[in-house]
Amino acid sequence: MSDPYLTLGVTPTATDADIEAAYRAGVKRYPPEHHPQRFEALRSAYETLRTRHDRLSYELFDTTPPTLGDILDKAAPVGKPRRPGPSQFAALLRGGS
Amino acid sequence: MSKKRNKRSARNKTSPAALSPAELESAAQEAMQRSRFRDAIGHFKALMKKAPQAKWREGLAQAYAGRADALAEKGMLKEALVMWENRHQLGADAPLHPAHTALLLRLGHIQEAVDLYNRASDSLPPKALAGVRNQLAAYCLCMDTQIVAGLPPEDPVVIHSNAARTALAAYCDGDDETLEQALAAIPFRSPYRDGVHILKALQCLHNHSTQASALLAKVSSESAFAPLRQAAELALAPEHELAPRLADVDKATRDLALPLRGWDSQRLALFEEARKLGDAPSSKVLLHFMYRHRNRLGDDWVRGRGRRLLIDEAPRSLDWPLEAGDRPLSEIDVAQINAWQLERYHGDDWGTFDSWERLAQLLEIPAPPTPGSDQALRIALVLRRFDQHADILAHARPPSPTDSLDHEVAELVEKSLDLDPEEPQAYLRLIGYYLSGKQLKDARRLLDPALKRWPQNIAILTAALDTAVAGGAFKKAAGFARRILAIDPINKTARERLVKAHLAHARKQLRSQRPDLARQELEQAHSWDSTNRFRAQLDSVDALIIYTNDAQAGVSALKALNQRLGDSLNSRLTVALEAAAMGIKPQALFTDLGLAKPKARDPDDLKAFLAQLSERQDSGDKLTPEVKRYFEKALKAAARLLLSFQAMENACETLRRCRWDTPRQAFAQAALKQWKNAPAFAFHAFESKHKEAPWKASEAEIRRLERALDKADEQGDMRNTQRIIELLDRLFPTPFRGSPVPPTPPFPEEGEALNASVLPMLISIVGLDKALDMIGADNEMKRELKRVERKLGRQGMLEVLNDIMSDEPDDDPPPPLPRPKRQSAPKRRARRKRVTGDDDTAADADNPFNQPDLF
Repeated sequence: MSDPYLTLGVTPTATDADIEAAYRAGVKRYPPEHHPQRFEALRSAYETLRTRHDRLSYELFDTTPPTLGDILDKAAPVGKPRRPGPSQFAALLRGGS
Repeated sequence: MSKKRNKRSARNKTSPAALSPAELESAAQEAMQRSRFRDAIGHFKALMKKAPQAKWREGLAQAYAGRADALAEKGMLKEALVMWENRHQLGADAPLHPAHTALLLRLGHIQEAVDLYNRASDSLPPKALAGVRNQLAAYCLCMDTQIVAGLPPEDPVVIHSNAARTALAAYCDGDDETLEQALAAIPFRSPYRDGVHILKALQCLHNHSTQASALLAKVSSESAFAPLRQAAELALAPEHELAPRLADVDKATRDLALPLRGWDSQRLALFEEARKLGDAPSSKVLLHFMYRHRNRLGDDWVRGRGRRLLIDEAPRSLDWPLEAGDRPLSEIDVAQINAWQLERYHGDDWGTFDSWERLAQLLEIPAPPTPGSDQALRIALVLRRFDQHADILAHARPPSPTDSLDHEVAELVEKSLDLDPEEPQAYLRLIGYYLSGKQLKDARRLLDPALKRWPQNIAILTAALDTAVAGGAFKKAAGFARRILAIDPINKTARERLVKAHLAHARKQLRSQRPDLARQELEQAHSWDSTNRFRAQLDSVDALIIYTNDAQAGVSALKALNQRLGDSLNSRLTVALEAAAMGIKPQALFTDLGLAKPKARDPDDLKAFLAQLSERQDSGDKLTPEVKRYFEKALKAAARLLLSFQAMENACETLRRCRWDTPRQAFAQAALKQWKNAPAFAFHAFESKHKEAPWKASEAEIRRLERALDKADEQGDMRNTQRIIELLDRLFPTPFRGSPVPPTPPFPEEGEALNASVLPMLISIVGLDKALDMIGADNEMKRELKRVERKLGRQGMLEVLNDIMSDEPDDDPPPPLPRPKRQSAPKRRARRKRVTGDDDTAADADNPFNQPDLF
């Protein structure tokens, strides 16, 4: 995910406090010891958007083109993982028939 | 067509009945090896008709199993079941196979599967029995209870079924406590064991992914639970691996895996659509995809991120948003894309500078920004962008002409401070820039507001200290140093800067015949040198002050000092540098002291000498010709001292920085004796010898350098490869251009084609290298020709060269494009006028996107 707003799950109108809160929540959800890559992405996104200066610099000078992943994440963001139901287990164990 | 072919192939085949048993057996084995199970079945059947044997019945059973698997893979499940049934009818030689049970269950023939298992369970080999139970357990876990009802109550599939079902239900409900209790009730040897591993893995999938992977790895691919393992692994797959892996799995696997990743059906649908765009869709395709989904993505996001897709192919791409149904790009958008593109690709400093400046002007046009607003900050950031990106002010040395790039950049950065004064880095960059050009007034003008805004900022205080030192305001400097030390008591930089400043001032006073004032400065310097880092230097200045007042007393003081410092090459350098800085010639001074000629005592002394030289170079101290002359012989002799490879290389580098080539050559030559053809020393030896007059280099020396280049290249030594290539480039200038010794007739005049027939004569007069140089051969070609010469001799090489030259077109290649020239100030001012809107037509003409030749 190359868009830091998507990584942190905040909008471009977010304030410094919103961004810090989103970062802290992200770190809590993806602690570095269990999710090193995810944490690194969070940290990098936080540093990119931390202050108003940073956010405007990102808007003006970041030239990274969006990826398909970014588009997917923006249009239909990944939600909270859900546990499948018994019918999904059954369908799979029945051999997809 | 196919019928005809089948008939023909059938005619060509020999009937199995016509073959002997040995031939049939051999054909059957061959068919099995080639996985031609249908043929194998025919051969084994024929064998069984001739003389039934157990081994042939076994072979037939294997052929049926193979054929059943092949049919099941093709989705012909009913046909596969017939094969299994045929196999089962072979009796005891073909015990119940787990795959047979699996197929029966899959087709819904549950009672039949249970009956088969009940009949065969006593006679099945342990491995097959475990396999069949595993199949029944997987089916039993989440489907109807018909299996349990049909099996004896003591069967393991029945005994553990309740616990397994409870565990699954608890997992699905998120009741981890019940899940763990239920899993604990299932023993290791249970047919539900693989299911236990999977449920445990799913439970820790998000928090302990490594543990989950380890648990999943315990489930074999033959297990009936393997499809669950595959789905769980998909849920664990890294993002970049997901797309190709999703393409390989069926819907049931995706339906189980994707909720585990937090995907919903909308995302999956969009993902499927995106996959159709290919592995690496072009920017245009991606942009159109974004516009197709703009309702979900949001207009602002599509526009903002979509602009980034236009950079590479601008100005052609500037119409893409319009083609995708959006409004045309604004002038600001175009200017921004232009600036991005210039910054990314063109390496044209003036062009990039102009593009950012133009963007800032356009941003200002609608209305003057309110200070502190987002728009003001945006403009300020744009104004500073070029300096931040190209790092202009840090490397420029003012005062520069008013139309120079750094001057213009400084102007923009100063302007940015009006819009956004809350940026200490901008102040520091400007102060550093003005200080480097001794423009102290400008530095002070910026320091005052910066100090008011950030009175506790160490970097600003250090800049203030530097400015005060540069202006000779040592009291003021000391005040700033105290403020720095109050904030950061262990700050070495402030102390060291003050010591150096007082030392410099002391030298200056001494040169002005004011030893009293020099001593005052020295005392100040002493007071700040708390770590005694500058002790030797300060003592030297002290002794030299005495020497200038009273030669005899000074000689005694200097002798004592020299003795205290160990009378080494290094100690002499300390004294010599201080003496030279005060205008005293080192040679005369040391003669007065009655000291012997300088000599390095040991490798450590030499290393200390070189380290001091390097440090003084870093501090900006000058190495005067008198000092060089005094130490030159001693250093040349010291080159023979045995130093390590690294130390010798450091020595050469230090001497190169000091532009002290004679000893550098001695060190490089001494090193080459020990490390033959070492690229680093070959470079130093050559450069130190021929820097001033490269054309004097002999052919042998150039070849040696070329060998060093090959070696550096082989060793992956990028630094020396690059250095030697640059050196060789300097040695071989463009033909007839910039050559220090212009060829005289009968050689061709500039621009005239060289006749191949004069080559042998040319080579005999100027040598091979210079001749190749004159015909414009590049280094690669020269090396190649020299290789040819080594193999085929001079004549052979000349023939190859003649061929190359005759193949070349007669016309000279077009001259290289001239480097972009810096625009003159009036031109740039005129351009700025146009851009600001004085003349719209001119501004349009000036728009780089209206000038296709720029791209």
